Amino acid sequence: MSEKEIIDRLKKIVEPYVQRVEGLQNFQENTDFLNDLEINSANLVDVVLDVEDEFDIEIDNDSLEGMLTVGDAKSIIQNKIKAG
Amino acid sequence: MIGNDIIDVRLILSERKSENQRFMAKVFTEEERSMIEKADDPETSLWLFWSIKEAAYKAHQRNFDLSRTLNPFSFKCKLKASGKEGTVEVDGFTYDVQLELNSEYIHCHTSSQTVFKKIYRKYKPTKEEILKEICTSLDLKSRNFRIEKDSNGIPSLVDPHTTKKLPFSLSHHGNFTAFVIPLINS
Repeated sequence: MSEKEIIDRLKKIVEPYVQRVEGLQNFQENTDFLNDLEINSANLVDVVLDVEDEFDIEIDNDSLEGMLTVGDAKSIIQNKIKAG
Repeated sequence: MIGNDIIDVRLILSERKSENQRFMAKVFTEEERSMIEKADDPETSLWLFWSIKEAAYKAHQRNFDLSRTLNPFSFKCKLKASGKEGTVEVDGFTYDVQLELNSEYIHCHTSSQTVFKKIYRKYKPTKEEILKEICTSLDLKSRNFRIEKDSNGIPSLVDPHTTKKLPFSLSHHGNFTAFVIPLINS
């Protein structure tokens, strides 16, 4: 799966939880879920669950801790897909 | 060290998270889940536990200058019999958390000192208004204070002339904004 495809699918997943919609206009690796998109931390857990479903992977607590940006999420997804 | 969290009850009760086993497993320990399941109102109980963890997380983050992370599972939470206090253990440290729960909001805070606490309802104050409220309430003489966030996003009141720094904690959700600040003599 290409990086672009992962990021496009990720964008669709996070959209319903975004409170700062302007943040979606420039959705790229540096985009910070909390600071740029204002997704609250409980909804960030929802994002993780949706990512698990979308990519058919399991995100453990250690990976969860480091998921602050789109780039973090992309790397975690890539690693899990490779490992699976 | 100080931390607080507010939850707009109106926004969360429809989420029915207590029925979502996967969400529960990512956020809560076995012991916490069993307490939530046994509660009269599991959904409210869940958000109370969440809020307790958030308040402790903010204090812990400030205490050790930690970068942001999403690790609610690491904050082991217990409720005291009174229902008005909780404790959180993380990395060998314990935080006592004070709770306030009503039909409109859940508010939790932790501090080793007595605090001044303010909750705004249906109004989102600006930075300047919060600053003014704190200076008036704590009777701060200096006019130089401003609100600054460090690189981890943790706010303090800072006086650049005296390098005096007063930690405080800010939280916003839905219709509610809350802050707590230790009551100290300026």
